[in-house]
Amino acid sequence: MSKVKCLLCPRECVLGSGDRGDCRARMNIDGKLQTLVYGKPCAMHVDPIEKKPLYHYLPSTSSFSIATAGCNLHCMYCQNWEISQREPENTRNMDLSPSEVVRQAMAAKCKTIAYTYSEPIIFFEYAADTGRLAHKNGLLNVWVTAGYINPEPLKEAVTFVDAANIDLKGITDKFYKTMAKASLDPVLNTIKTMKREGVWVELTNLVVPTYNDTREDFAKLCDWVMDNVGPEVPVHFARFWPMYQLKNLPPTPEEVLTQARETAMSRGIQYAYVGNVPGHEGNNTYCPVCKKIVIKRRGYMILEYNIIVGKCKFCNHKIAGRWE
Amino acid sequence: MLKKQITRKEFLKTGFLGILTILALPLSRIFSIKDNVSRKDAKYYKELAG
Repeated sequence: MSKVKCLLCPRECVLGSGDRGDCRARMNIDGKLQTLVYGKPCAMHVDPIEKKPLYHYLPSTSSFSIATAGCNLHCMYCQNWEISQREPENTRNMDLSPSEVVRQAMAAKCKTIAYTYSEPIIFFEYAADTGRLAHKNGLLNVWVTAGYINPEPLKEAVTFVDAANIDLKGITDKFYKTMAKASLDPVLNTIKTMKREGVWVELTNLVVPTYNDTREDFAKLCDWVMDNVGPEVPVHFARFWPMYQLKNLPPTPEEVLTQARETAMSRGIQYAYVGNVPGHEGNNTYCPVCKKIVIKRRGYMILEYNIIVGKCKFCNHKIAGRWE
Repeated sequence: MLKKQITRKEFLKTGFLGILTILALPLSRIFSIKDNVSRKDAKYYKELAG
């Protein structure tokens, strides 16, 4: 039986008959590459869209969220490792066809379907078919992704992905190799491509003590964002909690996250947030011109909303995002 | 309180059923694998010569 080479992500696994890809979700069966997770999500939930996190996209709406087993990264801090680092044979999977996903999303009055928790890239075919059907039914698609995908499938993905939260885990290749057994450049390419093709993009940087938590790290990351995708792309600095293979580290100190946000703003990032710290002033959206709070949040809840027709209620400055 | 004495026969029967159950669990997973995963053609790959 012939070998196959998967071309979905930069790993480009070469698989003999019966071999499984690094993502665990694709297998060479009798000389053909097959997906083991089509229509077989192991996680399904209705979440507030702010959880993704997406703060500038249809706020206060619900997102029908699904995931299958598997992932093409192996991050030492993965909070969803019990599904992302498992074979689909070893997770409890549902039978949920693309049409059933859309039907249930509409029944739950969701405005979006989120492909999340693990990694939508590795359930690409399922996400693509569901995404197209979602569009036909007036729903929008959100990817929560690490962005580790090859250019060709990415070109297809941007035709049905409307918004994305992309992990920018670090700003050095060394970090990506150490933390996720991956490389940085494909992720940077994904961010630039999605932005250029009109996908609404927000970035998340999980700040991990001793790995990527210095002022220099934050400055370099923000400079890249400014130079390549611009000041209006929101950046979320999220608190790390001890997890999976990094239980020996402490949670990220709040002052480090505050420093990250302040560094971002000093570098020109207009919307810099602190995540996983309820009550922090970095949970709120501020108008970049008059500096007043345009969205006040506590966790995922919106307490105050001062955006009218996409503009700051106080000074009329256009706030970047999709508000309706 | 009444104490029921388990007979040797009951003990062996329970043990035997317990062992069968433990052995059957992985076997049942093997038979259910087909339903738990999909077999659908993937996109973005190429066949290699040789």
